[in-house]
Amino acid sequence: MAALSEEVLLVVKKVRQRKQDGTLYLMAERIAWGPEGKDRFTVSHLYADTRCQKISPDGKAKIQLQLVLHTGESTTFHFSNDSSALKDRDAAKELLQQLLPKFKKKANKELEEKNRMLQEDPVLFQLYKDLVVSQVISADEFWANRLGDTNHADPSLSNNKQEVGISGAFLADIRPQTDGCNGLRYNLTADIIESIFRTYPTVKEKYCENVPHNLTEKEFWTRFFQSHYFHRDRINTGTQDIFSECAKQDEQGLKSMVVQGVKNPLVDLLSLEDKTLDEGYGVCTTLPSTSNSNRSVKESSNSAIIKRFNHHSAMVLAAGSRKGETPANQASETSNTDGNSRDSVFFQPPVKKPPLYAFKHYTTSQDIINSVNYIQHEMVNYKPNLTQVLSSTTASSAIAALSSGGVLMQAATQQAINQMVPSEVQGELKHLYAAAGELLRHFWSCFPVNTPFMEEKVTKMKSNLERFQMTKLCPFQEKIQRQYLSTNLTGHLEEMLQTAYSKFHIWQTRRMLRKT
Amino acid sequence: MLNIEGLLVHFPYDYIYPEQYSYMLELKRTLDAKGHGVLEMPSGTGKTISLLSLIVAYQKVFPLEVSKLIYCSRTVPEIEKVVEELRKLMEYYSKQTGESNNFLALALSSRKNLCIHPELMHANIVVYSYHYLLDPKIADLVSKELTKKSVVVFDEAHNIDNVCIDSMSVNISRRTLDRCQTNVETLQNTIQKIKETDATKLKMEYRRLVEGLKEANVARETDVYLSNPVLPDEILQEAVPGTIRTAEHFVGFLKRFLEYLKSRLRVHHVVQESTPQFLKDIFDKVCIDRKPLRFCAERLRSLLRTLEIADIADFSAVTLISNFATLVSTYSQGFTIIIEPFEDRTPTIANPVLHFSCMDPSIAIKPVFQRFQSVIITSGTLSPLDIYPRILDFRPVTMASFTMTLARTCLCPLIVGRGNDQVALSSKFETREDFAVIRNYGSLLQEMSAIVPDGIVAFFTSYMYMENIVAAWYEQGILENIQRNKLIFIETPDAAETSMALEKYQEACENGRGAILLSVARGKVSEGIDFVHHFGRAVIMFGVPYVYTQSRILKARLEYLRDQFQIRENDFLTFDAMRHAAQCVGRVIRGKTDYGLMIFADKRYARADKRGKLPRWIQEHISDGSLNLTVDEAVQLSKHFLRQMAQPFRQEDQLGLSLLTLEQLESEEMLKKISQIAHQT
Repeated sequence: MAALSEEVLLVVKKVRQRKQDGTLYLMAERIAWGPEGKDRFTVSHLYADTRCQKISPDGKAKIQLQLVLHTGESTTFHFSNDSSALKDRDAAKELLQQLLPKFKKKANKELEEKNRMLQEDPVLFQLYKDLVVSQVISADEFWANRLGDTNHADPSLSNNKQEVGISGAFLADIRPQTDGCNGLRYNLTADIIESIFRTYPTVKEKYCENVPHNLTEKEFWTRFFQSHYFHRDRINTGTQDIFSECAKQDEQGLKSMVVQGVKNPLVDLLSLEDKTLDEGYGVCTTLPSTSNSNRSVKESSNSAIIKRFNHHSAMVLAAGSRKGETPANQASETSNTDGNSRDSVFFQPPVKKPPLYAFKHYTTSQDIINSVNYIQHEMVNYKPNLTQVLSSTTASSAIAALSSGGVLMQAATQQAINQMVPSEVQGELKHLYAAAGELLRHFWSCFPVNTPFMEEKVTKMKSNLERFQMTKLCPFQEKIQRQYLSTNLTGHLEEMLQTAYSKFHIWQTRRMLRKT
Repeated sequence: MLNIEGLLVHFPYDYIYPEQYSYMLELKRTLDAKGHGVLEMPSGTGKTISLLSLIVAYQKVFPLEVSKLIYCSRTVPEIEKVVEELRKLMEYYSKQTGESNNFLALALSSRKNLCIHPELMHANIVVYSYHYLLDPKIADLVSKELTKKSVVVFDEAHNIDNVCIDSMSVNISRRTLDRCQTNVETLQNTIQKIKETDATKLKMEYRRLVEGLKEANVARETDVYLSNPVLPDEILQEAVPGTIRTAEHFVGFLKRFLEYLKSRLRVHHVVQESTPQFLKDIFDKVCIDRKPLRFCAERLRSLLRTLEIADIADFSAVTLISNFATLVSTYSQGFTIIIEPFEDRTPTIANPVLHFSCMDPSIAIKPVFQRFQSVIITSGTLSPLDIYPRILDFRPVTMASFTMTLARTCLCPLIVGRGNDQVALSSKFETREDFAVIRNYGSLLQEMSAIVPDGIVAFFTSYMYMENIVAAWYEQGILENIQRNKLIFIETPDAAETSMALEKYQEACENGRGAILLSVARGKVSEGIDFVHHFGRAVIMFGVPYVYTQSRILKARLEYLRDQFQIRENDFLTFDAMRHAAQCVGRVIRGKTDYGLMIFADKRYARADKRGKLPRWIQEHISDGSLNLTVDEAVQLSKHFLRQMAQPFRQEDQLGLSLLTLEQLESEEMLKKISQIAHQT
């Protein structure tokens, strides 16, 4: 066995993989499978490499469990023990459910970071495709000094990613579908669950309390969707509903928010009127009594819906701004006064505005015009610092050299290529340059070679370069030859590679000499 | 420094709107004539500062003609706004004239810092809430000694008739009577105690009452007091009747009256009667005469003073009953008494209430018109202007409606009369429950939520209607779809809850997420909250906000209006509905740099009798092409409008058109243009 010292957490026999019977092992850090009668694992995945597990739906003939790796590959295990297949599968599933998240965090973070870099940088993404996907260099090599680099260069950049708020309609996205036999199916995704938890912290509490000790995850969500809590228009059915407590807590939260009152006196309806009529005066003081006794069922369900919407919106709003809480800034009200009295905007009592996370305040057109004017004004007064500039002779000779017909413009290949070569070839050439540049960067960064590790790396890099030439550059050359384009296009690339090769040779010869 | 027909006015801003100039012109003419005026000018065009600048200038130049400005507004934020503008004006004055300010201005903004008369009497400017002048119970304490040579301004006066009526109406429930019972018992005990310890006090009071209310009469005749409508002139000449002169007799009298009221509340069917009928009945049943009833409020006040009771609030129930006694015995007209054994909505639960309703707003405001030489009624929405003098029973010397001069058309009123399926949209009773209408209303809101940036405010005709529609939208999944675009907040009957929803709504508008506020016409939001700039880029009025017409009180009032003022019921109801609709849609435009859509979602708005009652500054932007739109058409027009409004708008664009420098103002041509701004009626 490969690693006997590892702790084996679960062994499941009679598990088929690729139509071969075998045994599944769940260990502390990896999952492995070995065919029957053999003494080694043919499949072995670290948990850290695993993105998720999927299981076949209940009622399917084959009881399977699929592991999806971060690379996108997947491995499917088929539990074939007639009597206990389902139990076996669920045991494996439960265990994985507990194990995977532990490794997920670490792996995810790195992976997310890489993903983000690729997504944000199309050039890098192309490089990745050219070098890694086409297997010129391995992914590890590719990332070896990239991740470190960027992390050092601008750690704030990656952390500064704006916290994403919650869609107001996330509950609407869980469209129930009828499953054909008098039931409803809700499609939950991790995002929606996250949204529910962020918006309704009480539900999260319940989840932590009950799952998996008292309820399975599925049961939990089933109850959630059946609850009065989810369907506010339903009248509370009983106290055994675990969410009735949530509703109570929400109500309390709402009440305490209401009791706290509002900070902005302009929206405080309670203090709006200076002198309200005393009790008993006025035309119609018979307000609809608020006691529940004389409200019909429909009316109280209606008002519950209204309460729910207010609460939901407030919670969504709070969930959005909770993270990005900035010190309360006195957001200046849109101050586009036009030099005249303005009944409404004019009066701005000292109000501490609630923290904002997206836009500090609106820039009005007047603001923009003002700032343009300001810049124009500044430009008029601009005085160049003349001691720091080139002398006029140097400058004019530089201009002459850069003008058409000048020394530096004679080759004028840039223009020629633009006109001579179809744009797709241009694009391809650009990618080749980028890829070659990247490889060469790796190569040259090995010098001076003073450790064994570097020696190994430089050798590998050289072979990478050769491989690049073989698999990428040569086909390209052939292609442009076929199209009767000037082969000169790749001349510079080849030159660069040759320089690298000769450097390598010099180094190798020297090393040989030193060794002998 | 402006020259308004010879009067030099200090105006604390560099620029002026043409309509402000025009407004000041009309205002000056009103003051010159020493008469009353009705002036309508859109909000956000600087009504407040125009009023303040002109009247202060007038006071400075003609101190003998006008010695005081009494500025009444409705809500606390509005009062504070006035104070802020006033402060600015005063600073400007001291800067211009170089001398320190000798003007005393006073603002009363809460009962907590209620001030005492002497200061009020000496102040040049008083800013406070309507109630201090219109509610006889407070006016008597605060405002009765204000000089005749005052200019009274009622700002935001579109609902002034309701304030008047409210201040004169009383409701008595069983709970009131129970509390009153306790009050009377406390009184009795206190009297008993005082009698044992300090009998002279009661004797002194008795002597004073024999003397009668002569003191008050002298004051009124010598023009020191604002007359109190609760205390009619005749009373002042008489002494307090003997039957209630001693404290014990009075308490006995109160008990009898209380028992009578209790018996009246034991009814099983609705009773409606006039005040003379009521008086006859009370005389027949418990032998209470009209005369002692009339003195009831005054007598109680005297007693409370004599007993040196500090906290009058504890005696609110007995005060209410005695106020009712005085009112009911004083006015034979303009009031009605309705006793309802239960609420209409809950006929099984006994909750008898005696409504003593004032139907004539002119009763409460009459002393104000009589006493002060100029009373200005002004608001952003006062259309149709001529109805206010009729229902308040006064003769104005000026009535004018001012438009908003605009460099760009920043408001876009649209009347949506049909759904995309051509179903007629209306909130009228017959189609109120109509599924198709509700659905189309929903799709209107949904589509608007997709194209309007930031905040949308929607108003419904009543709370019940909103509740039902929200429930229907919830079932149909419309609200979910709206949530994809904006967060939804909804007004509730609870003011604190609604305040919170409002604050969150503003937060959502502020941070870019955008939100929708569902609210109710005639509610607190529609009356007091401004949705400036991005807090309201569109307002949708679902239906025509007619008042609930089944109420007996309203029916009585309509009858009274018809008989006394020759105002037809429908005219009044439409007027009332349209002023509330105008209030609602006007919430989004609070200035010339602001912009907003005004969507009237009911086909009835297209009719001339409705449309014609909108303020002129809204009406003139309704084109024939926007009268009976489908939802889709409205969306197209809105998109176009919003795109235009998103273009930069600068001060220069306004200058010379809707914003003037002093030189521009003085040009001949401009003065000619300005004369067309005021629309006289």
